[in-house]
Amino acid sequence: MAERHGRTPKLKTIMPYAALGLIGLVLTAPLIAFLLNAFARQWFFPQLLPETWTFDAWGRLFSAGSEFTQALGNSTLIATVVALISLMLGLPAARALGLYRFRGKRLLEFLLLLPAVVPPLAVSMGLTVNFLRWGLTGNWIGVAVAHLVPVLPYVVLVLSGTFATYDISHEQQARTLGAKPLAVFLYITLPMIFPGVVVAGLFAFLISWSQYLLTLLVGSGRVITLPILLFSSASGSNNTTIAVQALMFTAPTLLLLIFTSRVLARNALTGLVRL
Amino acid sequence: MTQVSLSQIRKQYPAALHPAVNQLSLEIPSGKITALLGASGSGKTTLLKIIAGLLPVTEGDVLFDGQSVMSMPTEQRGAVMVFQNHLLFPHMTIEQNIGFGLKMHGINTGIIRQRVADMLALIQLPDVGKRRPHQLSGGQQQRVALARALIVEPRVLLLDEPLSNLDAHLRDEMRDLIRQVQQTFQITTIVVTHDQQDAVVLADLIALMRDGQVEQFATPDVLFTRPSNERVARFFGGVNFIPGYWDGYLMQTEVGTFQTSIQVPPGQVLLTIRPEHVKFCDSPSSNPLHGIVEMQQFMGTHWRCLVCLPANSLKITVHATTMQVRVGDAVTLYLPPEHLWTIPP
Repeated sequence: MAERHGRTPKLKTIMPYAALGLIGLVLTAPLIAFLLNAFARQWFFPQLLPETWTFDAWGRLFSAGSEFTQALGNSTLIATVVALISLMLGLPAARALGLYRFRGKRLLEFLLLLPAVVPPLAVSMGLTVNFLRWGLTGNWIGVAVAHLVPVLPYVVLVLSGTFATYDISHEQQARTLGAKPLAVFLYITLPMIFPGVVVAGLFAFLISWSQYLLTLLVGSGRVITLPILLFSSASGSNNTTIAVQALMFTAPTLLLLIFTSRVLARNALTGLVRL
Repeated sequence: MTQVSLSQIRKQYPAALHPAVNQLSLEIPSGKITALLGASGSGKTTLLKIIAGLLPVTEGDVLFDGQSVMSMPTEQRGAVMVFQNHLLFPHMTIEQNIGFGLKMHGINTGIIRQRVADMLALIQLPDVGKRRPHQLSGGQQQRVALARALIVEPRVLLLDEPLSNLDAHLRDEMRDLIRQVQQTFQITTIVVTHDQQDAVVLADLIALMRDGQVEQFATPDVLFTRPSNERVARFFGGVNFIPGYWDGYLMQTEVGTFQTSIQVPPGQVLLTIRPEHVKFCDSPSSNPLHGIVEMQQFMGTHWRCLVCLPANSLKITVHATTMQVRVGDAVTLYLPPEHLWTIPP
């Protein structure tokens, strides 16, 4: 009996850590494999670790004018533009949804969520047909516009969560003190909702960054972003190339997640809870 | 020094049954403190926001010194509002909060710093400039909010329930501070409050509001001694109402006939006298009343007595030092003619 009493609490304290460790292993194992592969020169079956290490693949991929640097540039450009435009469009919409009550609000919220729920293939096909007519296919501008469709619902929802806890009286106070509308936005509104804006912007960037189908169809194969390149190399390249590309593809996600968890206050995530 | 005129203001909220403000006209004199006094829902805060330009009116006009400000956006009116929950900007230091208005008016940084320091001295918080709003107590935040409004030297200062979030002794301090700065700067000040006591102590003039209209607009002492109707009288602590007939010379009531000094046309009236104006007196020269002390209650500085008359009863307050009667005593009361007042029945 005494022995059992002694053991049970121990097991209880160990279990959560074991579970956490297991989850961590499952999540990081692919990354570890990529890390090893990215620097391996020769790595054959019975060996546990590669025999020789090299930076060759990195040098080759990052050489000026390479397919990879172009794709990296395209992805960064498109994701940044999409993040900025989606914030500009999403802020007024989220403000209205977060602050005011009006007829048809629930319906509007539902319609805003729709592109995030409908299968991507359906959205992509429909968009491509129309973009063909308007001459928006085959260039990065068209791709960026197309990315706004899956991005905007998330941006609006995150921001409207921020506005739900926002007191509009602060703006009124600033106005009676002599602040013009633009000054009110810059000195009061923006600083007060800043954490939410950062989270929404990061989300927008990441969603655009990881788009494959939309980019492929709307870009007509001429706009090469990282996911496009990654898919084609995954089926035909050597392991080292794939590993480096995959790491570069994952990098912003990891960096941004670390940044958000460290820098941003918890209240910035209220919008996410509603998702 | 700005005179504020409200002309036939009506404000109807979309979903509301009755207008929040209804055909209201008021001349608010310059350089004085005017209180808008009333229960919640009487339209007083709505009126304050209309003056500030934060709410559009359905009908009517707001004039500053005779000029309509309806087409002027809030930021150009020079009517600065201090909100009930003081609303300091949480992302700014106290200095930045107080200096905000000057910054918006394009004043240079050096002057702002000097003026902010002056303001911090005025509100007796010289050392809090670098702190954040959440590091200050409620009373301190309220004072900072007042300083932030005063620094822009507003034409009109609008205070929304400036004392309601403070406990008793902070209330007195804040009252004194508001009076002091108002007298120093001579700013036309409009205070919204639901507290009769606050209005009386703070304001030169009180507009008693009810259902979006002004019941009576007068100095505090007039509201106490010359109320225009029973509701006003009750709001200011009037408790004695005796129906009667005024024939032009004498007041005939169910409890007796009285001499008064009032001048109103003959007719049915409601006779009223404040509880502190009724005197116990063995042989009054006029207006005697005989009754029995029914109940008495000690209130600290004074006693409250209920005296039963043959047909009615009177409530009387007597200063503790002069209290001599007991429950059950037969007493004679004296109603001084100059303190009798009539209101429409």
